[in-house]
Amino acid sequence: MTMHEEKVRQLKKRMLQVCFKNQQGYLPSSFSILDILVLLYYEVMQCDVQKMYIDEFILSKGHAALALYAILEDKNILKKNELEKWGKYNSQLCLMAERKIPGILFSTGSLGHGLPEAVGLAYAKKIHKEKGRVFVLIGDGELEEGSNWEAFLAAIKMKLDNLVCIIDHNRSSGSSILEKWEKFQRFKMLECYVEKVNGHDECLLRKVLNKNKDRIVVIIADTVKGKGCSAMELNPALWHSKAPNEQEYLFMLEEVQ
Amino acid sequence: MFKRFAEEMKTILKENEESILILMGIARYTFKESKAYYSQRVIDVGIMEPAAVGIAAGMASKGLIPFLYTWAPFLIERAYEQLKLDFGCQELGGNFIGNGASYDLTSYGNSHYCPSDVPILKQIKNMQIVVPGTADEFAVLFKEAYNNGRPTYYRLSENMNDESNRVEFGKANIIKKGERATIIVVGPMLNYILPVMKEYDVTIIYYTTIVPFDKTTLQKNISGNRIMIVEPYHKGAILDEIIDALSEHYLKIEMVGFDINSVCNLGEYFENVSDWGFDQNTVKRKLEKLLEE
Repeated sequence: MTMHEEKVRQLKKRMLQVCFKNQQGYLPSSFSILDILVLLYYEVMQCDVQKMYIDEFILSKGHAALALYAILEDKNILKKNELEKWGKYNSQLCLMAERKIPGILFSTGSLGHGLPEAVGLAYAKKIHKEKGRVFVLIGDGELEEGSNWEAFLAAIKMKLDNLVCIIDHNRSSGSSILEKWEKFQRFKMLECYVEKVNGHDECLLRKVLNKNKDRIVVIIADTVKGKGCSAMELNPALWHSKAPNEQEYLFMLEEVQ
Repeated sequence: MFKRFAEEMKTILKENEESILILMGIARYTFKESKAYYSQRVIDVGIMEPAAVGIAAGMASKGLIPFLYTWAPFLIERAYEQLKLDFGCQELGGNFIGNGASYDLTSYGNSHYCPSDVPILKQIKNMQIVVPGTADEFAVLFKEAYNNGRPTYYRLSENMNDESNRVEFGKANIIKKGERATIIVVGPMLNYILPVMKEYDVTIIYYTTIVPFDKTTLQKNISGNRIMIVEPYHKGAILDEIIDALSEHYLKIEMVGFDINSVCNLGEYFENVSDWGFDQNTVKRKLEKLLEE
């Protein structure tokens, strides 16, 4: 088992614990993006000498926040007891991504907000001549939001070479919008560098996430919703926002071990 | 008022290197020269109001001071969720300059009317709202508020008062002191009520900042318990503030302003004024009713 696989395994276990204990959450969406997030936070995103990230990340599909919270907890950015209270009365952590947490720039949850924010952020970095890239992760169904299309058009005008848009292609929305975008080569029309990759293949992902181009990079990450848990993989719609009961939890825990 | 905005905006672009003007296909020509000087800080993203507000939020998160200008309904109603989440809840500073007020574009039809701008923006946490009565007042308030770290809406209107007052952001002005009633009037509505109020012994308090609302001036200057509220948008937006400020008073209230059923019958603004109930006869009748024992 690679270090990456070990980290993914450990984080999935933690996410299962939290989801079971709190009886709420969006596990399948969090599992589909976990490989990407682990690579970003443990390898790809650059830090300065004070170990502060100079790259920025926006999780636009805010309902997958548990994956991000688990990573921030593992990195001691988030206090351990905070995640235990996730979504509970007086907790700082709502079910969606919450900006009041160190390490989270924007609160998200309503789809179609993250990419425009990332475009503005990337442009501001260029004006300020700041180093680093801006990564934004959006869902494939989220592409249906018109604000993404608008943001891509604006980003081209701004000639952003510091923006990386990762699309979690887990096919869960039932929409084929991404296939249509690909069929009509919309990203290429938008002058983006586009690469499709297996979103759970550590080596391929690492390679593409580290690519710097002279234009916007769009990574279409083919993922499996609920990756690693057979029940969620087989019936992602049922499990979209369902928390496991004890029996299901124990079985899932065993599967991810 | 737009012309004055353009002048002030050009000055800010020159003086503040963190300022950035985001256009959405409107006023390209007005800022053509500025774009040539400050190509990175004057950008026309295109006709995409929701994304433009989100993009502005990204910029604000890195310390830039964004200014977004277009017609009010496109900026406020079309991009409402972005204003609420990306600026209000996110506690970011930004400037939203909406032109056209309620019915300035009388002949355009519903697509270009925006009489609900102030009431709906009042529901957004942290949103400051400025309703100047003249171009000079706009200039003063704009300079004071644009860099205070909060999202701020400036309501530009071509329907203006004849004279400017010495306004201050967040403060109301006492126009006149009297005994029989208190007239609370917002922005460009002062012109409609002043001729009527001259012959009455009433206090007139003039507001150009709606949020934050200056309760202190109202509390210190209220005359009796009879109040007339005169607003240039869907009436009632400041009613909660007034009731809260005067919670120890039993109040008798009359209101002048648009309501949800207000109709604009195209043509010119002045032709519609009596339909809306802003004409002197209607205002006078409402005041007499308020003053009845």
